[in-house]
Amino acid sequence: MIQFDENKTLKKTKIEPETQNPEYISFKNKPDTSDLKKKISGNQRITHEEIADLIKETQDSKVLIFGQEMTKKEFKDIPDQDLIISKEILSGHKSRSGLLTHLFPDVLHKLLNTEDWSLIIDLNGLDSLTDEQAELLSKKEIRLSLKGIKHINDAQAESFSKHKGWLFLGISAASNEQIKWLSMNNGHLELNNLINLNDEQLKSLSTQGGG
Amino acid sequence: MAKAFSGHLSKLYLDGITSLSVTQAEWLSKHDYGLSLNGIKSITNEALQKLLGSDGDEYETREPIFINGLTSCSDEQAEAISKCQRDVFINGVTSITDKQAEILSHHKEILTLGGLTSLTDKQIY
Repeated sequence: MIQFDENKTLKKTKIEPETQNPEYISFKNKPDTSDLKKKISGNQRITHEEIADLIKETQDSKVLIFGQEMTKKEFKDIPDQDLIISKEILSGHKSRSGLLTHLFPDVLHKLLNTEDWSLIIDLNGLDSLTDEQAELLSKKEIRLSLKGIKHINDAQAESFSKHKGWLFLGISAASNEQIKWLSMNNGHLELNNLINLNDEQLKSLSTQGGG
Repeated sequence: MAKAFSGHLSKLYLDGITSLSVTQAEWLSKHDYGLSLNGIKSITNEALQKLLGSDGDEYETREPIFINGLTSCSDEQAEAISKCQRDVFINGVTSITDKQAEILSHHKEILTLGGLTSLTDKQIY
């Protein structure tokens, strides 16, 4: 939970997972609190967009927007643990920092709705994916960086086989079947954490890119 | 055409691999597109020949190969590189002999040796 302390800065207190609502805005870096405090004074409802506009005025702040309204209390109750995304991603520009550690449906929807082909979706903070998330992300022709993903299952490997563009995975081990799927990827495929590859796997990878 | 286009966009990064057997090198030599193997610090002459497709097999010009982890180069390896029909990046090599420079000069594609710390007049010419 984020609260304002006496110095008008944000501090966090622990929230139990079951009380967390994924549909909020969340800050990791300290925003321009004086403007925000002014804006949310009273109990009037404010929109995520209004907050985002304020946040954009501060270069280092990061924010996640779901397009939903929140009250002052809701704003104060924001958990500061997971849903972080850089404003560069939201505005469709390249981002070089992977700050997102959890993917909720609204976030994924927003990420995939961009028409910017040069977009880099940098999700290096993620250490796990659902099969559905892997499938959705793989459908977009983007540079997709998932260096925090250390293991994938067969279904996810199959999804990634269809991804076009750049794909960076942090996997350190994979089965022959998974490598076979990944080898069907026709874009840039980075698997630099794989240290031991057997002959069968290298044979599969030799066909990557249509070779 | 479609293949050529996709090839331009394709590259395989396996920088975690630190060694390659001859068989493995032979498999990877069949990868037609960009290939990054910067984790390899040393490789046998035969494996490098296989990897670069310079062992007599006929290959068309292909996408670049990056072996920037290599820190030295034998005469046999210089021969293998000179016959390779793809751009070769070996920026980890810090020195070469005059003989190796002469051999490498026969390479017809792009060759980068950005790690060289000195060159003799003979190597330049």
